[in-house]
Amino acid sequence: MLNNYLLTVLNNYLSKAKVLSISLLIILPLSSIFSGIFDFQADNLSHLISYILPDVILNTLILLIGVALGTLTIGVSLAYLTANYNFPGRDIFVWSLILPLAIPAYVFAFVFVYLFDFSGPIYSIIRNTFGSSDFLPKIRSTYGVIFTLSLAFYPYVYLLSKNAFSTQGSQTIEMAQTFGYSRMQIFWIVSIPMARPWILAGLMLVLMETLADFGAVYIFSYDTFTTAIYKSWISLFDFSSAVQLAAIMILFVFFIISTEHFLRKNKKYNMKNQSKHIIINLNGYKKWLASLACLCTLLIAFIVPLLQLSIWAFENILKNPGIDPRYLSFFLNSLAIGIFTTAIIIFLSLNLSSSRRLDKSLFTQTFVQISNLGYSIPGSVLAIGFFITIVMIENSLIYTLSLIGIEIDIVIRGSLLAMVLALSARFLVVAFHPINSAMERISKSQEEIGRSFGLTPRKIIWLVQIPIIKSSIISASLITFIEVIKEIPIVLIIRPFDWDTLSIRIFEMTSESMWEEASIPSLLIIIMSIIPLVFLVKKASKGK
Amino acid sequence: MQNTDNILNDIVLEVSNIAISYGNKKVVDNISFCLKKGEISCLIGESGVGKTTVLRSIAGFEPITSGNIKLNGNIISSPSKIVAPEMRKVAMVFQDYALLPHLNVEENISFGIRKMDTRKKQQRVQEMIELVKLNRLNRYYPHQLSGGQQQRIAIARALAPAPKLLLLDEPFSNLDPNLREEISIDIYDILTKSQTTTLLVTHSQKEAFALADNIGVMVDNFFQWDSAYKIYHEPETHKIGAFVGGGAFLPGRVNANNCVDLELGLNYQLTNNFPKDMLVDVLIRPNNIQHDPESLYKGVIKSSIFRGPSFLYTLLLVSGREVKCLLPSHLYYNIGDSIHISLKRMPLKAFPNIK
Amino acid sequence: MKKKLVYNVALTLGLSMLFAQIQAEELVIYSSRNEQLIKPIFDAYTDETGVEIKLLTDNDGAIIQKLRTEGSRTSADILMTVDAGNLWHATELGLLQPVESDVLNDRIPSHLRDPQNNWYGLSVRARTIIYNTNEINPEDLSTYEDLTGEKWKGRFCLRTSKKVYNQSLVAAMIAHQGEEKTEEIVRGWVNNLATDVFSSDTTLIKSIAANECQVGLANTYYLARLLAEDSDFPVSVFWANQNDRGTHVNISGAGVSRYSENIDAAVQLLEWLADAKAQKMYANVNYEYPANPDIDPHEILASWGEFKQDQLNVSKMGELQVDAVKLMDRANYK
Repeated sequence: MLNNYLLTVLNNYLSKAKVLSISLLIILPLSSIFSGIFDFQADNLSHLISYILPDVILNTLILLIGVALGTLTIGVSLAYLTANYNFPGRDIFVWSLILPLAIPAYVFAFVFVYLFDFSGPIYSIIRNTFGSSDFLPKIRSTYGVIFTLSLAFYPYVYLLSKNAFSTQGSQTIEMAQTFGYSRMQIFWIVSIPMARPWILAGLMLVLMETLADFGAVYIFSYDTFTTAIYKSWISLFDFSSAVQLAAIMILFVFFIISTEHFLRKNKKYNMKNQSKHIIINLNGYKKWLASLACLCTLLIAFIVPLLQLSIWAFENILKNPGIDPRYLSFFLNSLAIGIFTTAIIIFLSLNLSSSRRLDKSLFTQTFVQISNLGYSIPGSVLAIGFFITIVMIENSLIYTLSLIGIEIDIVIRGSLLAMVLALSARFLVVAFHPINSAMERISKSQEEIGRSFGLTPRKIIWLVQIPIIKSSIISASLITFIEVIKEIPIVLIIRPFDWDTLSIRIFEMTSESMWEEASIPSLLIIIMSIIPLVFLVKKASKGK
Repeated sequence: MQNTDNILNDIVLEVSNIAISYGNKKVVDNISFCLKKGEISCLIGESGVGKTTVLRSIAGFEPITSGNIKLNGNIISSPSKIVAPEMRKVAMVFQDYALLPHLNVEENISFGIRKMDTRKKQQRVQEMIELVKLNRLNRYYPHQLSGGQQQRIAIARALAPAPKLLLLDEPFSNLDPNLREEISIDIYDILTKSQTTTLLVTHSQKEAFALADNIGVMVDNFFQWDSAYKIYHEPETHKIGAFVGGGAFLPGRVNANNCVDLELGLNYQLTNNFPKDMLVDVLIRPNNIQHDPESLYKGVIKSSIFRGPSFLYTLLLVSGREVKCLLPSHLYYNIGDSIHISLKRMPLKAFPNIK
Repeated sequence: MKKKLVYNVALTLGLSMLFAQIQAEELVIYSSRNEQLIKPIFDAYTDETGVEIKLLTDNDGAIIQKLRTEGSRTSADILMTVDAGNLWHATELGLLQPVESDVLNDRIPSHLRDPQNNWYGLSVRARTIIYNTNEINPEDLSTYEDLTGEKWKGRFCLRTSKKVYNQSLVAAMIAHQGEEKTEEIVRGWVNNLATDVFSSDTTLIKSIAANECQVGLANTYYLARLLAEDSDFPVSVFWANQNDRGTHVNISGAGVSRYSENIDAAVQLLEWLADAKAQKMYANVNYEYPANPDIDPHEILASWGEFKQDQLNVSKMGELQVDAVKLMDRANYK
């Protein structure tokens, strides 16, 4: 009996230690960049406060609100449509609407600015036909950035809320109908509130990505908080001020996450739900409207950029016949870090989410949140943090070994392991959110049944939780994989010599604004994202 | 016109000859019945026979392919016209209760009465909470409550708008057996107290007999709608007789007086007329058989179920056929014991022999 | 069984990468100049001398932070960047070391290298006035300062002030005429803008061609790239300030890392890069001007004629970059 008690206590500590060690992946790099936080130059800071920050804070808020509204509108409505109704082409739209995720936001931005700018092909044609294009909106504007980022990021909201809508069951909808609610009212007061954790999980990813984005907003010359961070670092040569600004941003994100968490403290979404999900056939003009909505989104958010990239790639190949044979190794390298990192991230997310369920202590809850902050920090800043951490570890290892008389140079930077761990820390939240939302729906009794059969918490993860949330794990793996193979700054700084990935190729091509040249690696990244997508979708539809 | 014509003014629901198909497959055919105001009725039948489908067609979720459904004299469903579920004012309690997880008890109950003004609404919600005995749980969320409590929220929510008709779909199937009986009695009280016209789907005959004024049995494409008494004693088909009430059949040949000789005695009167010499199966209910030490006939106890005041024994007859018999619980036998029994002299229900 | 195999492969891969070794005979180059712009040149060097070159590219900011973090344990021998400001900053941080090389001092003009010889310019990037040839008579153009005039109102285009090229240009102007005067000029520019600032020189040049605006400032190699594809492209170069200080130039260049253990080999590579063959390749691959004045530029560049370069030492632009950035912020140049 005493033994059992000790075991429980021990398990509790082990679980806390696990959460802590996962969060160290992000705490170490953060603290290493923040250690220089007081080393700033006062005149730079006062300059930023008087000339830069007021504008960029306003801009950032406008952008966040705009992109939130944009992605919610597109993502939630398309998710509701494809989850609940049948209409021509639905089977294809269901999965192809995720595809824009495969196009990096800055590639989106570049393609759109190219296509829709004053000097671009579309406006030129219109000018030649009508004599003027002044009546058309400007793409390089606040609306333009919001429009572009909304199209680039809506799949997060779409994917997660579709998951929620198609598992809600039809009974609640029917129940509300019997009380005289119209389908529209039901959408707002039943379906949306019930899908809230998923919708917000998607939205959180969108907001974090918007906040940390530098490439896309740079192309639009739209100054955000991240722009200010880079300005301090690159233009004012003041990394400390940059880090201070980054710290403010992280606090902001932490505040938002905690607020959300606090607001839904009392509510659970794990209602028993055995009712089957009924998909309603749309009739008449409605079904064509639904198809049109999906088609238009897909057209603008995926097919048009894809076509433009293909045209550039084609022109490139005509100009320089033959493709660089190194592309095979770039492809394989991307694939390798994609797969390894995704596997680690899923493993860590499951553990974190499961710990968070079992242990409601403030300690665990806080450190789980901290583990997820990596995504909200501008990539390059975080990359430096990782690099400093790695070098610190190397130095202390060398020092320790030298104390016992071993003189050896240890180089961890440039190792695949270090890179995969850093990427895992950055993208953990991408998988954690969907997995955690799904985990919240597993009812306590389902776990207790497991416990009553003598399963340990660890076995419960494998035998009870994973099978129940399988579909969420699949979509989480997919987004994670796509995110990882798109990533640039961390791979750039930690990679070994002569070890390039497709995303590094994009960096090389674009750093001198040679965007057209980046079309081939961009296309390869898109293809690489589509393959697992198609595979998983086929498998999922077979499973039904 | 309608009102003067409709002498059965208190008929709330009238289902006439409806059929429902999925694609080319008819799932339900030729169903007719009426519900009077305040009546509690039940649909029973084997699972998969389409009981829930009938219920859903009344709620407006399934279109019908023939016949019509009238609510208070107005057609709400016919093959050519269907009133949308949200326009019917028919309340339904779903198998999973369909509670909204993000709303607390009070908010869930007031979900259906959003148009009431705030004060009236509060009052009504409080009434409902008291009716279903959930006092002091107003602010709880569904996940914090037990299955029985969740069930009662669902009922309260359905009753709050004082619906013309309440539909209950397997309302007790998610509850554990002990709770089930208790809750079903509670719910019966609530429904009679609130005078709510109710149609309930269940697969439990016990529930049906306990709650219902009228029962509709759906067995093997045949539908019988009658009082519980009639369903039990005068089933219209062989299969309904077999399905309801744990009956057994003994074969016999009809003689000149519309009587029949059976394994357990000669010359039993039949309730319905058959031509002479016809082979029939005679329905034997457990209460038809009594313990009779004087009797020549014997049965061997094959199994027994203790029901408190009585035992339900299954007896193996000499012919190898089985009958059930209900004996007071002071008559205790072991399995394998042979006891003397006789068939009570009363008119029996018979069906043409099927073979 | 299968799972075990995957596990083992993963482990081996992880561990083998963990102790990546760097051999001493090679030169390691940290570069913020694009791989495809320099790789062919280094390949040529390896063919010629047998010295293996390991190249690691990254952003300006990141590559300097990386070098700084590694400290004495860095394997970098050479730091190569695309802007004098970055080389100046690296010098300030003590990441480079002075080099004694008469060859380099001879081949690279003094205004294109660090006064203390910490780094050398290898190619020259001119930032000057470009104009729409259908709309503008080049005789109306003269200096950067002149673009503040009333006649250019609503006809002038700029790239974002966040780009280092504009920061260097403004820094040079501060060096020549002081902050007050410069701020007035920048305000004049902003006042004349036809549209919001662009994020790339290429888009800016295309907008001039499309007549959204008619005059702008750009690095000439962006225009040369467009002209290489379409020789009828209706934009041309005007050499600014030829009657006074000369046209603004910046460099891409390189210096020897402070903790390099292959100083001689590194200097040899730099000398080779400053020599005719490499200079031609280095500059031509991106339509830049060779830093070594003895080498002829690419024919597209030659067609614009010779021009007088601003003789201000490019390190001055690094020194004044922060002031320039702040000045542009004050002048509301986005």
